[in-house]
Amino acid sequence: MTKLLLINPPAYDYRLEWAKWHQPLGLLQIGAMLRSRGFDIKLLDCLNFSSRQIRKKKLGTHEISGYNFHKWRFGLPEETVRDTLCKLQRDWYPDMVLVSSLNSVWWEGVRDTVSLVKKYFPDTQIFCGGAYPTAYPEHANQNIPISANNFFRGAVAKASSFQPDISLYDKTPLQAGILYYNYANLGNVPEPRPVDEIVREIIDKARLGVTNFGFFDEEILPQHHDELCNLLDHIAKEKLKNRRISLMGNISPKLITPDVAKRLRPAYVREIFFRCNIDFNNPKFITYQDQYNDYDIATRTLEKFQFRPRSGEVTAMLVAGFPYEDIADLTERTITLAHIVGSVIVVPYQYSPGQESHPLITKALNQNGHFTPEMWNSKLFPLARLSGKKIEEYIELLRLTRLLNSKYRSVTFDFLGDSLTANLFRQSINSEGYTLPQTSEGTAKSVELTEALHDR
Amino acid sequence: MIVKDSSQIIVGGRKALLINPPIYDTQYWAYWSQPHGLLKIATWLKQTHGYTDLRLIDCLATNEKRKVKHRLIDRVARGNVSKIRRAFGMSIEELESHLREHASGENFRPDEIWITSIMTYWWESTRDVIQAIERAFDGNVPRILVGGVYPTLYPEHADKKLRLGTRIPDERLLIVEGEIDTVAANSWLDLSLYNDKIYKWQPKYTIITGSRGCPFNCAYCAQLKLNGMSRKVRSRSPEDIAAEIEQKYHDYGIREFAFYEDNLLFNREDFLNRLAEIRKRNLKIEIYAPEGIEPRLVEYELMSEMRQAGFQRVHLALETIDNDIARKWNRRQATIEKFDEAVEILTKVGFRVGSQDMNAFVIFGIPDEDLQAVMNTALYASKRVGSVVPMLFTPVPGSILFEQHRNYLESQTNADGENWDLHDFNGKLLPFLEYNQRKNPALQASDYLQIENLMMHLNASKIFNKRFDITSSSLVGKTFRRVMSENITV
Repeated sequence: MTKLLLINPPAYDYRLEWAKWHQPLGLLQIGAMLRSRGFDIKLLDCLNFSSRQIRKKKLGTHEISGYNFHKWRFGLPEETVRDTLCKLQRDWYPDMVLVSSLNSVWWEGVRDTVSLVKKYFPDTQIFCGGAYPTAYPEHANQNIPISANNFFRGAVAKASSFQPDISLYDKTPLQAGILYYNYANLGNVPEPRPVDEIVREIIDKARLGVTNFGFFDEEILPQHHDELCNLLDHIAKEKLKNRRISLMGNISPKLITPDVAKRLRPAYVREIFFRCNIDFNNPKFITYQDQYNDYDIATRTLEKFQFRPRSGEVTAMLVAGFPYEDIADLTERTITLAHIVGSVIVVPYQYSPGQESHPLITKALNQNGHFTPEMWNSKLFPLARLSGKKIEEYIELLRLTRLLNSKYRSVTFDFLGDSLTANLFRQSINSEGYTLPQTSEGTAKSVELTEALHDR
Repeated sequence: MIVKDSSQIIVGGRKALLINPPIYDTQYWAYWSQPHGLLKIATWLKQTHGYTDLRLIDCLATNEKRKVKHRLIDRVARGNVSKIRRAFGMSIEELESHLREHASGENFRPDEIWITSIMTYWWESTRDVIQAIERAFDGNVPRILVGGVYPTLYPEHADKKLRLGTRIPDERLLIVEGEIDTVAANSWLDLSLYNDKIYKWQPKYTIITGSRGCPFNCAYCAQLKLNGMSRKVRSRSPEDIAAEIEQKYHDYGIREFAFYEDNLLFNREDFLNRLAEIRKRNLKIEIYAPEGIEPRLVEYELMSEMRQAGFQRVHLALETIDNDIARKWNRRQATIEKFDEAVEILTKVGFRVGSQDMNAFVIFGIPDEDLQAVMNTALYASKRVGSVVPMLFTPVPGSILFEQHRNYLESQTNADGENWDLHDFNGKLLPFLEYNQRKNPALQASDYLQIENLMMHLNASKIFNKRFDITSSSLVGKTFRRVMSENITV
């Protein structure tokens, strides 16, 4: 029986958002497929955090315009990885190792993992797949010390029809990614998977101990509205006590019709992140597809069906960091979405070669001559900076978002709301009431009096 | 029976129980919870009057996280909001079981029971403690002495109301008005009383009172009455204060000290000498002054010495940005210009803006207040200091504002038609809501909660060590202000 070790490397990044959701679905699908063909599979997922604490180790600092971006190695400590490989070396020497990559900017983690694997298993064939070799094939050839023939680029089509096998984990993770679509037919519009198949997968994983499910698809298409309602109805019929489902940035506000909204809570959906739909069709601008009215209708509809307003249960995602974008427009959109939806997350745009192109992106890329894959890390807003934008503006935007999303007594504050407090706030901003009053006569008299009192 | 001097109080007893009652409130910040007055009384009873058996039952003793347990007691409806009231600390039932040990002979039978009672709006729990004492001792109660802020500020209320539901004779329940004795007031805290089986955790912090008194009479403060109508600031010697700190450091492992004083910096030379004495002892300690300091007394040398002596953060009494309003509150000495200068000095000394090194108190909920001024003050504090501490106003008996509005307050009735009592004056229950609604009919209780919420939102966490700056000259800042200004509702 061929022994295959699957590895999801640690992430090298400046921060790790949604840390518990970095599950390597592709790797788990490949594991399921090969297991069904008789392979003996083991999994080492360096981003499986069994405790709440994200383990990290500082790697260095990247300075941009006076801001120190600290880079970290997120994941299982290296000693733990070494220990695991050492045990496998002794007890279960793999014939093959497949190292995946969830993100091309994390390529250094792939490199270091492959180097470590080579130390412990010098005779073993090592393969590498995922986002990194797909986006940067030449860079991968040059920097990952494996045979050029051992790279997988793109999705493994045959594996796409398999469910991610979380039984590969020694201890079942609390969260599991679920795919709504079947991606076996690459290149065509995906078809939703059969409802009973999805429901069965959720039930089976719930029985193993998973409590949080997230739909990992890039987008749940509006044209599959009825199929989505059908799926939600079927999930609602199952007794999934203490389970919750999140819709993670893949659902447009336009898809939240009353028919969908009323089915969400019964189907254990507790968290909705609205997808940020980008329009790349206009050659002069990169714009957002959904209008404020779409968000307003969706949010009000969800409130009618018990999603608590301004609580973080519903959040708008807003992609930022496009080249030549208007910072003022972006700021206004951030503020308005926070007002309408209650929470907004600014998601830095992650550029990757081979993605949708746009003349403005091409123009910005032409300014580049020296960026290596990790420098395209979206948190550094590389495309925006190449187009002349200042990192300070994006940092200030993130600070503003932190204020807009801050919760006290479990709710965010509506700065554009109708409340007396919000109005007083806006009046104060408008009149600059927070600045020192200019009363020199008053000041002189006060100084006199205080001197007299001090002398008493 | 109201008593004022120690000859009526000390009558030859030798054994005493000291009780710090639980409290009933909507929230309680327990970080510095410690009955310092009672702990000084303990030292005085032992050292001056030869008491042989003393036991402290501190119902508000904190756990290792410096918190106390709590449970729901009721809800209070105020306008369009409902506030949950909780009992914080040891339950009355548990307290009673400890008292029964002393009543039954399992532990020493006290000659006296001393009870401290702090906030006037916490009076009910003091009443409940007294009822528990009567039950535990089956009517044969020891002498009970109730002292502290509440009985000093409103002795008549205490004398009448604390007897309710009991048959304790007048002479067995004494309301101690004012400071018993200067020696008592200047005594060290007796932390040995926490070596008791009822405490799972020994406090690693303590309160030091280095001075009492303040020359001012701000309209919302009752310290003048508390200090027997004296404006004199009376200080302990710097050597004595430093020696107490050293003793607590070595004998109890205390590393955090809070100065709780009416006007910490007023006697400048004294305070500088105090800091010098502390520094001489080379103790690695942290010092705090959670009640705040007067901004007009902030100066470079003083702040520098404070920082070197171990001060970690500074709380500044800002209260309002509007000098006219400050004058109405009898705070002629406090101008916004002086506050601004104070922040400048603190920054030069090394206290950082936006890091909780500096914090500004902003008061609201005051009768006839200008809510726009409150908002302006909050935004100024957020921008200038970086940390806003919202303070809902409680009318305290003995303060100017209370006396001005006494008739109003005492004529208000609750949902059951009963006249308001002291617990209804708790600032968190918005005692001046209806009063302020007369001028502003659209005002709701929820607006006060929103104002408080907003002040807390302004303290949101940082990115690259800074919060969002509403006055920022960045495009983001300018856009934010433009959007806000375009959405003014008239």
